[in-house]
Amino acid sequence: MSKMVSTRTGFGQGLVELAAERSEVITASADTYRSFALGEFVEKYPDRYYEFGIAEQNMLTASGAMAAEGYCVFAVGYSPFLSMRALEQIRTFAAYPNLNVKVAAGLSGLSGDTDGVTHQGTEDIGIVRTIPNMTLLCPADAVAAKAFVKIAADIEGPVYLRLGRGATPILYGEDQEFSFGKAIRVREYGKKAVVIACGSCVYEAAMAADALMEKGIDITVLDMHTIKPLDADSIEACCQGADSVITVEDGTIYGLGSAVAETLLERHILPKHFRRLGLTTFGTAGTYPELLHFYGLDAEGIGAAVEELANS
Amino acid sequence: MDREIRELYKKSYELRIQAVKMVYHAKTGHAAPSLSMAELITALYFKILQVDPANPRWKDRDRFVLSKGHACPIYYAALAKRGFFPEEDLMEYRALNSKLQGHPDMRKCPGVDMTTGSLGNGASASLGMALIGQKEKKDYYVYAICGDGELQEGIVWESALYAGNAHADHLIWLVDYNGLQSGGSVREIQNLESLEEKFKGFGWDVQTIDGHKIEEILGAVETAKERKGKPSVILAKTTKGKGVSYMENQYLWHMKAPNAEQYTQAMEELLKEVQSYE
Repeated sequence: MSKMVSTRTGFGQGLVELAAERSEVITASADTYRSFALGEFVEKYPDRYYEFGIAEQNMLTASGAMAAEGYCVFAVGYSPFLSMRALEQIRTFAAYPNLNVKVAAGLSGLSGDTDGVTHQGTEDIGIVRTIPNMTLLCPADAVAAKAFVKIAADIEGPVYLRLGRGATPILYGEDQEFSFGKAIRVREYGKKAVVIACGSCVYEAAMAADALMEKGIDITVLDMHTIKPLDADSIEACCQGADSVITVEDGTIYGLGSAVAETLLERHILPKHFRRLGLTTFGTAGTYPELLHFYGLDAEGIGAAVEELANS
Repeated sequence: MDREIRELYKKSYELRIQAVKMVYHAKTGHAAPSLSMAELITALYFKILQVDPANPRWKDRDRFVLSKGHACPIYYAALAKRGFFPEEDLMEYRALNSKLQGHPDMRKCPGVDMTTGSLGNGASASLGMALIGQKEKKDYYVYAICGDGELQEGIVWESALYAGNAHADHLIWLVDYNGLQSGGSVREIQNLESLEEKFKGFGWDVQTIDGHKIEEILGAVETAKERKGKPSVILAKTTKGKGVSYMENQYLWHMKAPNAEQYTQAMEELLKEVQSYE
């Protein structure tokens, strides 16, 4: 079993490192100081930290104005309250004027776990990817999350950085390189199926690929960490000639799944089978591993889906 | 009356004329909400604000946010008259792909510090700017004109709470308190009173003035600047549609263009006011 670290921890580390390099980086928090372990940032840069309290809408519009003043603002909060409650502020006061607001959203997807539906940002990808000017990043583990802080800061304009809550397995080595908009081929055993995943589901897909290889089913796993803009070239290159294409995400299938479906059609790629793994309903309370299993999004569930399509 | 004040009154009616022309020309738009804030915007752009039309993004300028973004006809008229862009461009208001969008766009219109239009958010934007001014120890002030109706939005009070706690004394909100909103009277739709007590409770300095008296506006802003340690709100009592008799206190003129006959009458009435200050 891999080491377990939360993507929020990776984010917090990345933010402190970035702030040391760039004085224009400031942080806005919606009472997320404790949950995002922002202590080191606040200790080192107290005059670059803004605590809005539980007021996401105000945080987002004010962050837009701060960005208009020349700052790179990381607005830190929880996915359901950012991607829905403060959606209009993200859309109209960060994205529309193309301002440097980097929305760091914990509790994305099912990671709100035992809190249940109110705290699960299961629709965030589907929602956020429709917004013009927006970049949507979904790191697979804490290593990626740390690296994506700098990548987000380098992008001119708004970014939605999708983070989790609890510790999840580390997939990448510290020396892993990440390029904005370029999907990573995490496993490349064969084209019996191509599994395109994001977030913590990438690790699960990789484990599924390893197990399937033992059974003689060779698949490819793509970490689609940048969902907007989507890496259509990698999708085309990987999926061309594949028997099955399967998408995996820990939220509703209208996020990554729909984005990939659009691309396949636009690129004239019609695999024998196409399936979107994820939710079509609201979630429910449970630990994160329990939920991944319940919805068939863990290695076992992904493996079963690949086998079912391979045998059909 | 002081010559300078007289000139400002005259300008406020000249801006009103432009605003009504723009709405008439576009065949849609917000005339009456523009008319109630004519003196407020005139006092700001022709006396109070330290801005440089040749350098709209000048770092040390005073900031202005039109939180009631729908009243942009008179805002655009003020920006044009102040020299941010040619006055002849004003008739582009609401035209296809124009820089004068139906609500202010900071990326399209020179002199606009923040995109607004979604009610309540301008208040929050002005807070963000004021916090940066504080952080950078700048002297500039951040002004916002809010409608009274938009104070029903929760984000306004989220912003007010933060500003009070942050002792943001370079933040000044002017409430265009005309008592009417799109669907009727503010008092009947969702009463705000007592606004004075509410703002005081949030740690703000509060003044109530006649929003059509330029002298009172200038005096209140001076007083607001003298009060240290608190953000300031100036509750400016106004008349919606002020200056055009048939629009005055009529909420149905919130978003409506005059017909040819009504337009002629409006121009006559407003021109008479301009002449009275000559």
